Amino acid sequence: MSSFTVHTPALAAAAMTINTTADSVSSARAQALEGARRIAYVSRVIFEVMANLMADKNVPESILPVGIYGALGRLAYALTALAEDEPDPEALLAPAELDGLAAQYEIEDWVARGRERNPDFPDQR
Amino acid sequence: MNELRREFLDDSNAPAELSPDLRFLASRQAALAALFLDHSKLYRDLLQRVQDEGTSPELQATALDAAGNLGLVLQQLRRGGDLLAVLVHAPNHASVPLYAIDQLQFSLLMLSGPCSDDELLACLSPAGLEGLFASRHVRDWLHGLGVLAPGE
Repeated sequence: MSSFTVHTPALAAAAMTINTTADSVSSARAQALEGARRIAYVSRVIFEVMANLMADKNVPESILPVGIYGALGRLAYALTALAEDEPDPEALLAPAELDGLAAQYEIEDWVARGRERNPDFPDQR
Repeated sequence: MNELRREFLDDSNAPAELSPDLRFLASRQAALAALFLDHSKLYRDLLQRVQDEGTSPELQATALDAAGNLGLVLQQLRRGGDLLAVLVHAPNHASVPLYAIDQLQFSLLMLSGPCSDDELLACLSPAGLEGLFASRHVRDWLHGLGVLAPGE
């Protein structure tokens, strides 16, 4: 399962619990930071592989679309903000933005195309 | 919101003759360039400290704050994706090297926690950071903002 599918609900859950008790706020912040750091790790590894091992290989867009970096980045920025003492509203994702992220960055299309070609393609739902 | 972040969100230094959209883009790109340069130095220092002494709660908090600074401006610029897409086609304009700057934000995020060996390995190395600043895309973007990359 990708970081994207794991952290979209994690972000929503963290955002919902951020206004409750001190313990749950602390827990939500820790959860948000863990999610942001996991995205950061995966994204860094992918970047290095693409930059150093596959730089001249003309990897087709269908294998790993550029949009997924943008979507993961936006989730990571929002989770980073939620991990802070005072989350900056400008750094967060509104619920509508969150719901529309996969479509905006054409991740749903990529998953659908992948599934057409390969029945074992991970189910993102 | 701290004073530094309030400054990021202030468009008043952008040229008054620009449209609101262009004032937004000009001020956020200037803020991002300044953060990229400043936080690169900070990152290099934090990475060295983690490698020499290990991590600490104070170091992790500093790294999270820096990652939050970058994340705030990156989120705003990516939210204005349509504007950025239009600028891609503008003559003599280098697009914002979002993916390069993401690498610094991600690496700071990894320093904001326990820093396992795997995470440290995945962090930008000093040479990797130099490589980002040496890239044509990053240099063209910085030059367009009237800024020189480190080492130039």
